[in-house]
Amino acid sequence: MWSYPYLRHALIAGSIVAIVASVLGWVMVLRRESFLGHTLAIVSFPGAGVALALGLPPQLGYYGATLLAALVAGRRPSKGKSFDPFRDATTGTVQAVALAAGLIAISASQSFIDSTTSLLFGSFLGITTTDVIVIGLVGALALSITALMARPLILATFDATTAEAAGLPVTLLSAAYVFVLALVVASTAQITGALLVFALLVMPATIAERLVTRLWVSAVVAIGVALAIVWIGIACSFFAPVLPLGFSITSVGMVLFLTASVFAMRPAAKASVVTS
Amino acid sequence: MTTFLSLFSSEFFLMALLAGSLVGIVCGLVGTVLVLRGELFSADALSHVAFTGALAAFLLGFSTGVGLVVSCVVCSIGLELLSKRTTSADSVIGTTFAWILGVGTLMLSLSATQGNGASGATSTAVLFGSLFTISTSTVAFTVTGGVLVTVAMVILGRPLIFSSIDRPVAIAKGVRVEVLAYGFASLVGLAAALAVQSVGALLFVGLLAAPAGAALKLTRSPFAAMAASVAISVTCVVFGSLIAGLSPSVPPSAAITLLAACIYGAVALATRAKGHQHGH
Repeated sequence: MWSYPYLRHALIAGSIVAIVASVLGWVMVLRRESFLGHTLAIVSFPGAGVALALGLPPQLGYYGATLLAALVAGRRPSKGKSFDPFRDATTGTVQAVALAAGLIAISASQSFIDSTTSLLFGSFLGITTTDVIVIGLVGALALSITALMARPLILATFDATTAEAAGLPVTLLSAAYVFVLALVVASTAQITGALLVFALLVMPATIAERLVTRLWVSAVVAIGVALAIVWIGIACSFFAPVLPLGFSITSVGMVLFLTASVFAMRPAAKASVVTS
Repeated sequence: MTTFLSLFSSEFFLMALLAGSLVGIVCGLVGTVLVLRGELFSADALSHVAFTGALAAFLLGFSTGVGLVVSCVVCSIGLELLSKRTTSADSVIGTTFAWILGVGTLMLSLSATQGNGASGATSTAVLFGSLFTISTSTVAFTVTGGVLVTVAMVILGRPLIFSSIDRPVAIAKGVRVEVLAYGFASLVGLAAALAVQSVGALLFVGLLAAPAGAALKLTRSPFAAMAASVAISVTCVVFGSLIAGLSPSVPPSAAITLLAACIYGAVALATRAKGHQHGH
């Protein structure tokens, strides 16, 4: 496998993306913000579509669309409320507006229809060395920002009132996190396609949550799970080309999720959740 | 050049208005309750299930409508079941539909190898809808299903809103919240199946979210909001179809969605300005 340059690139880029997406996804799952994460992932597709239709580089569309969506939909819930229905409604609307714009771009430029499938479902093939370097740099930036703000961010996630009382800039932390998530989604979507980004965000953390109960350990487990999903997924699609990468990767994730769910149902696991 | 009057005498447009209005009513009713319950994400999930369901029906030789109804209703009830058994419902729902979508990509590539390009047309129609090329049988299906969901929502509306806003009190008053939740889940699934054929899977969430968001900003009463949401979404369907009918470069589902988003945006800005005036 290693002797094919395109596959080498796919494995390197896939590993970087797996690590970065699983860390950001781990925060996303803790914050119960899957809808927001999924919306950011979805808007990257029309972003690229509109950019292509206007003759701009697609990268501009990926980053522009996710950052814009993060700006509109990423506001934190109203003060003192644990549930804000308008946050949901706004998120759904942002997603729909982006897709409507993408649809108009598609029908305006007929040639673009051919690229719809690759924008949505991605192709790990044809990843250049430059792509790998850019993904690596964006990933390193995202991970450093996340590492710097991890502790206060997690405190703000679990107990916003205490965090605020302790003088933490809760609104700023939340905004910074959504901004980094948007960056990561845009860079990941370029190689995995818009639809697979979300799987890499949500699956590793959801699986890790079922395997270990300690908070920081679960972040490390999520990274491991993400790497396993991507490597096994790429290998499956390489040896059985009839299986699209999106299917292989999400199926490996699903098998691990089901296994982890059974594992979490053991009496011992239940007891440890209660006592911890 | 299509004129305003000729649109109203053309059959395709009247069919589109009929089916679209029913979808608008259904989405307005269901959307308000989904937003109030904080369950919009499960509708987002269903729109992806629809993609896989339609392609599965195509591969197995069933009609798209059958595939959509079965996959959406079964998955909607399944998601309700899943979210009951876990504390982190959204990540479990997300994991599940990410995989279902992955299965969809497999079906897309399997059906693409069958040749004739019909699967590509199916997938585009499911993703983005086909309001102006809707068949008579689909219109009949949409009207029947739409009336069914509307009647059910009118009957279940009061206990449903009650149990969404104040669950403990609803339980104490003898409302069977669990049965109600499954009933509502199947209505959401049916709504998804109906809407996907006209506005498309990717824009379905917008027609649930934007009119409901605008309506809930306009009034505090959930029942008034349901009525307002229906009015807004039907207005969007009618005027969106008109815009798309007069300018063929704009697809109807895009016009409808953008219109709904504009209304939500305008209402949100207006109520915010009003809130500042009153010193909130």
